[in-house]
This record gives sequence, structure tokens and C-alpha cells, in this order.
Amino acid sequence: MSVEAWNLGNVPGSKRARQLNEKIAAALLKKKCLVLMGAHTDPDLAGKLAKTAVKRKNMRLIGVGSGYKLLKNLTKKEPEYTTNLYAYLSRFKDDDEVEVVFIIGFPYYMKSAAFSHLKHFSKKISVNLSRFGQPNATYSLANMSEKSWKKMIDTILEG
Amino acid sequence: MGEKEADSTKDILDTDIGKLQINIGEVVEDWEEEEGPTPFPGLTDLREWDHKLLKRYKPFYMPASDICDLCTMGKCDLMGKKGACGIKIDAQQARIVLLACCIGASAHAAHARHLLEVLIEREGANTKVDLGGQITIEAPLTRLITGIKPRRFGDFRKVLNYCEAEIIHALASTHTGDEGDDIDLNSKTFHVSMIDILAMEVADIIQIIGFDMPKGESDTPLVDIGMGVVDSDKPVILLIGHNLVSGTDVSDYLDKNDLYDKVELAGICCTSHDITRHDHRAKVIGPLSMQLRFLKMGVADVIVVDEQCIRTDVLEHAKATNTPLLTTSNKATAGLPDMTNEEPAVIIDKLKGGEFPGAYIPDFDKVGEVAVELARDMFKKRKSKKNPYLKLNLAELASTCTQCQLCRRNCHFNKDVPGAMKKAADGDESELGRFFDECMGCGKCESACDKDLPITEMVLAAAKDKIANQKSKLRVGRGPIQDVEIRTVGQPIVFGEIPGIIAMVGCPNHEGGSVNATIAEEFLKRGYIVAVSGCTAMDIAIYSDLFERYPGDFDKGCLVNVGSCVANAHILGAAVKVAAIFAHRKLRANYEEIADYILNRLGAVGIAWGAYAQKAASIATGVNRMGIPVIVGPQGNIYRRLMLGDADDPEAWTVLNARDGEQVQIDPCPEHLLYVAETVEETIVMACKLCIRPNDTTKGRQIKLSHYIDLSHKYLDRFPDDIDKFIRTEQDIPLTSREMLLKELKKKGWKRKKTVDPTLLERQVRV
Repeated sequence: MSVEAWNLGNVPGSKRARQLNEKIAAALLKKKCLVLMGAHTDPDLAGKLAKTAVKRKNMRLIGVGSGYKLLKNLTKKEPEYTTNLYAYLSRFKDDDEVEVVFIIGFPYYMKSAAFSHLKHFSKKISVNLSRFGQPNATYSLANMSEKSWKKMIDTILEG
Repeated sequence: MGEKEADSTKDILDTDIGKLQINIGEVVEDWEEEEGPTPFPGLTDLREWDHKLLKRYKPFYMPASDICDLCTMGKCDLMGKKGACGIKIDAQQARIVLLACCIGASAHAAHARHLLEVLIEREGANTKVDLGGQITIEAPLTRLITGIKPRRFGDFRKVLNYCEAEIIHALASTHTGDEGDDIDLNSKTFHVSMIDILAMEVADIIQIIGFDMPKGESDTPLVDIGMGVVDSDKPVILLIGHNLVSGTDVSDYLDKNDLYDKVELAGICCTSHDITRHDHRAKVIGPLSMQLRFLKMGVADVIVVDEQCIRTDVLEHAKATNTPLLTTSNKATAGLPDMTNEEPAVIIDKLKGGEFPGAYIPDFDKVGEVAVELARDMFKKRKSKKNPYLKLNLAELASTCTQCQLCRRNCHFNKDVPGAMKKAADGDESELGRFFDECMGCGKCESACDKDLPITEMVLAAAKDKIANQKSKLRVGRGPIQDVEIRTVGQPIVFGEIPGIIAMVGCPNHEGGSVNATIAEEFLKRGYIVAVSGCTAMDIAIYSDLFERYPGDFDKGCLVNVGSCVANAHILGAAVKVAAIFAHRKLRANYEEIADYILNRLGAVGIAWGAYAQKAASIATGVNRMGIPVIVGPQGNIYRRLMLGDADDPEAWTVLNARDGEQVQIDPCPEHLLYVAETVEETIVMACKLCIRPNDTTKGRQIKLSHYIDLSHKYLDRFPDDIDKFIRTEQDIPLTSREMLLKELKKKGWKRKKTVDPTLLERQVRV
């Protein structure tokens, strides 16, 4: 099932994200994952992701721009850092180091544009974990209430 | 005001007598400077330069759509496929950006053309291009790009003829079956954007002379700005737009009839900058983000619009508050009847009596009288229509909100309007009130509301105290930078002792009104030159007292307001003048050499935190072609094409050493050309870094790196891990971090780099 865009104007065209559910998420999290975390990340989600990254050796977590500060307060180890989401993606190579890219904690349209870049110019699987549907991602959560979303995130990350 | 000349010089007259052609009124170049290689460059004449830039700063695309629907062979799905014409998604996205920049360039070129023809009609084609004794390079971009030195208004016709032709060529290349190479499409985008900036220069120079605006004086007056500065107990005339011709007529009518203290003249967007440059008794309400709000407040007794960034539904809002609307530009007539040939008294009667909601009056000798006299009449009958939002019962209205989320889903900032409604229904209006500062007031939320809640008015009601108290000061736009200022700052800028020029321009499409003031103050405190214009200058004025605290000189730690959007050209013009006045580089038709000089030597960066219009895209791209990087705020990603460098790609940073022609690798600066930042913190750190230039002196580099380290600590809570890339020799290391950095460099295996005279142009090699 394809995902409806949260923002009514964000109509991407022919290829739309498939809806992410607990089962698909569990399969994706077994792959080589990269999480790019921006400054606008929900602190609760940031904390859970930081914990998950510590537990999972296949997950690399990078604080992007001001997102680094957020991450620094959540981890004992010095977090990885990159200056900027698009500058990072512009150098992103289609190698085997990363199979799945999670982009979290950026303004809605920044994420949409980043997912669009990956959709058109990369073979990576991209995932939206926010509660606001992103049709340019490969997989996106459907639009949902904050309460349902928090429950879903817990299930995905703890599962 | 310029001198009047005989009619024969008003137009270019070409007469053929046998083999002899006489051109009367056309520019005859007796300029002592030798003509450079690229006079009036065509669409591909600077292509080689563009390709050099685009090889280093690779386009990064983020298509808004997978589909092309520009011709009848489509819709074509470009998702991993070619379109029917053979186009691929990268070229398609580059094409869309080119289209946007063609729109931007045509807006400024048409604006300039209109101003020029009106002013030639009034003053004569022989009106001297004289910006006063302090400015000898009167039109640096015109000289640089076209190779002519404009002496009279008529000379600018040749410049605008050129601009118009180039815009057509660029636009034509977007037609189905034309350019299909994305790099060449970007080159064409550079070209049309350079034309945009050239047209802006023409527009501002002629309006400065024709409308008696400041000619580069730094101590221009401070004028009132804010939603609270308009006295609604007087008749109010509201100007909206960018082209001041109609606005000056209103202002001159008030002046001539001694009515300035009886009638309020206030503006929104760039036309308000320019009206205060013409007469500083006028007032500035604020940037574009105030437009819908002020219209809904119903304070204006007459609205006069010209062109660009006017709400296309302005008539609907004017009607709602019984305010007559006068449209004055052929670009935006709003469906109103043309009353050009009617007498002012007749027009006033028709509008006052409600026979028509407004009129189209492109006669600039009539619109002043109609606007002023109509406002005085309407004022008497409109008193009850003012500030209708004050009568709203917020809690009652908010309680009808169904929490359907449509407002939030239609908001490009994803603002939690339903959450604010819930609180307002419980009597807490603070969240709603916050939107007054934290959104751009586009009204998409209320347009989506199934319950027809008047969300904009509700925000106004919740922010009523803020509105009443929003009163501050804006320094009137000064126009160009004086030659004497360039002589003073040229060396410290190029050597890096003034760490950079931060040009803050653009629109208010952002969250948080005080953002621009925060950025400006950080750089002012550190001795950067901060040059501002347009809605950004207004934002800074509204949310800070920086204009009262910092002088308006083009010098270290000063805040320079050049004026409206078209006055932006003077900021780029100042960079060009540094090359000409300080470095004695030849300007005439010598684009590539000057751009190469600026790219390698001049620490300047543009910030357009709230860029929104197509004009903003073309301005940024025009600045980019000249080698100046631009940072846009998060919404700027919707332009969908960035130009990003890769600091780790040695080939990208290989240049020629002008001393001996050797190919050498330089430090990766400026690192990017067009960049989207997520946060203010990231913007500040990146702007500081993008001021680093390969040709900085060691002292200059030390200063720039000190700021880079300090700002990284302050805003990102980290030491910059790429600092080794910008240290060429030990002398570049800031003294305060010397020991620690030396250790760090050793750890990274840093090697000393050769000091070079960098250039991308073979012809600049001296042996």
C-alpha cells in the first residue's frame, strides 16, 4: 500500500513510498543501516535511536549539523558528525557499506527533498520514521497521531 | 533630477543614407579602458567559466516531481526512464530551475524597462547617469558585463535590449527538444541569472536618479517600521509591491498639497523600502509576511499595488473590508476596469460609491491624486471597517475546530494550528499569538479549513498587543557603495583582516522572525561587514535595534542597508569594485577575470534565510556565477538544485598558479556554492567558513579560522574537524589554538601547502 503525503502539496508523481509496518521494519533493521539525525528530532525518538544504535552493530548513527548537539547529550561515546544532510548525500556512494538510510529530525520538506534525491539517484532503501507521511521515501510510516506513532516506534525499535 | 533634452534624443533613431548609418542617442564608446574579451556575452560565451564552476560545485538535484508535463507527449514518467523527448530527470530538474530563473530575470528586466521608459518620458533620454562625486564607477555590473559605460539614461536602452534578448534565448532553450544536458542547462541558468542582476542594477540606478533617492550616503535617516506605526485615526494609503512609479506619484501629491501630516502613506515589501528612499516621511509596515495580515486588518483606506509578490487575491481581501484597490502595473491588473482615460474626480466617485471595487490606472500622473483624495473620502465612511479582528470571540471560534488537521497538512512549516486552537478554546491564546512571529502569514491554513475559521484574523486577535507595540527603526536604503569606502576596505577584505562580507537578502519564508537579526548581530560583533536588503532588512529592523546601534557605512562591523530587491545589485557591485579599485583589474567586458578574482580572493557570502520567489533563485544563481556562495534556509531546498563541493576530492580543488602556470591543489574554499542549512546555528558556522578564500594572507586566514573555531564551539558544541584542510602553513594557525592544533595536524599527517596565486583561467598565468 502506498503512503499518502502528510503535506497536501507534496505530490511526488509515479513512485510512492510503501507503508512501513512492524514486520518490514524488523527486516530492514537487520540490514546495514545508516541513521542521519537532524536538529529537529523528537528528543524521545532520538534517545531511543541512540540506545538502539548502541545495541546494534549494524546501525551507524550520525548527528547532522546541529543534530550533533542533540546526540552528544544522549550518548557517552563521541557521536559521529557531518555538517549537512545534502552535502553528505551528495558524496554518498552506491557501495555495500550502507543498505538502508533513515532520515529523521529535519523539517518536512527538507526530508522530502532528501528522499527524492535518493529515490532518483541512488539504489539505497530510504525510510521515514516520522508520523508525517513521506511519499518520496522507499518506506514510510503512514500519517498517524502522536500517541499511535510513539507506540509504533517502541514496537519497531524494541522488536 | 536629470536635465531635459530635445525630443530627438529620446529614442534611438537609425537612418540609412546609402551606406551611412546614423545612430542618434546610442552609446558611443570613447572609454579609455581597453575592451575585454566578452562584451554583451551571449548564452554560451561564458560557458567555459560555468563548466569550471560546475566541475567543482556539482549540481545536486532533488526533483519535486517524477513527472514532466510541459508538452502534450506527456505526462512522462521520468522515474528511472527517459521522457518522450529523450530528457532524463537530472536535465529535467535543471530545466525547471532554469525556468524559475527566467521568471525571476524577466520580472526584474521588465521592472527595469518600465522604470526606464517612464523616466525617459519624464526626464529625457539624455538625463545624466550621475551618482555624485563619490561614485565614479557608476554601474560596475553594466561595465563588466556589457562593456559600456552608461552616461545617459538612453544608454541603458541598449543594456536592457540585451537583457531581454538573452532572457528569450535562455527561455527558448527550455522548449521541448532543445537543451538536454544538465550541466549546460545550469550554465544557461547562470547566464540568465547574471542578466537578472544586470537588470537590477539598471533599475536601481535610474530610480535613484529619477526619484531623488540617496546616492550612497551611509548616514541615511532612520524611518518607522512595524505593524504598530500606522496611525489608523488618519486616512491610510497602503502600497504593495516593488515598482515605485505609482508610489512616488502618491508621495509627491501628498508633498505638493502639504498633506503628509494628514494622510498616512505606508508600504509592504520592497516598494516600502523605495518610498522611504524617495521621502522618509513614508512608513514601512514590514516584509511580505505582513501582507495578508495587514489586508485583513482593514486599516488601509486605499490600496495601491504595482508588481511582484502581491497577493493574487488582493482584490478579494480589499472587497472584504470595503477598501478600494488601485492596480497600476500591466503585470497585475486584478480584473479591474481600465480607468486611465477618466478624470480623477470621476474615478473617485465611481470607487467611493461602490460602483466598482477598484480600478486599473497605469497613468502615473493621475494615480497620486486618485489615491490620496479617495483615501480621505473613504476614511470617513470606513471607520467601522477597521480592525474587525478585534471583535472576534476567540474561544468560541476555536471551539468549533474539529481537529481535522487539514490546516496543518496545508502548512509548509507543519505548524500545529489544531493544537493552538485546542488551547484557545480553553482560553489560552498564547500559541495562536506565537504564530504572528513564527509563521510567514501565507493563509494556506485558513484556505484549507472546512469550518471556514478565520485563522489569520484569529492570530491577529491573539497577537493584538504585539501588533500595537511593533514599532522600530529601519535605516533608509542607501543604494551603491562609494568608491572611497572601497578604497578603505578593499585591502583588509582581500587580505582577510575584515573577515568577510555577509550579504543577507531575500524574503520572509521562514519560521521565527528574529532569525535574521540573530545572524546579523553575530557577524557584526565580529567585525564582518553585514549588507542587507529587501524583506530581510525589514525583518532585522522589526526584531532588533541593530540599525540604531550599528552605523550604515560599508566598513568593518557596520550594517549596510542598500534598499529594495533591485538594490541588491550594489552588493555584488561592491565586490566588483574591490577588484577594480583596489586590485586595478580591468572591468570592461571582462567577466571571467573578475569572477575568478572574487572566487579566489574576496570573502563574501550571501544568506537568504527565507528565500521564496523565483527572483530569489535568480539573484542567488547570478551571485553564484560571480564566485560568491549562497546559503538558503530550510525552505530554500524547494528550489531543488544545489551546487555542492566535495572537500575530499583533490581534482575539484586543482587550480593554476598564476605565477608559473603550474597545476596546484588549493585548500577547499569556498567549499560550496549553493547550500541549504537546516538551522540558524549551522548557517552561522557555514557562513563563516564560506568566507575563507585561497588567497587570504596568513594574518587574514588566522582571523577567519579563529572565528570558525569559536563559532563551531558556540553553536555546534564541537571543534571543527576539517580545520586542517584550511591550514596552508604554520603561520595560518590562530595563536590561541596553536599548540593544540599543531598536535592535531601531526596526528592527521598534515603537510605544508605551497603558497600560490590561484586562478581557474589560463590567460591569467603570467609566464
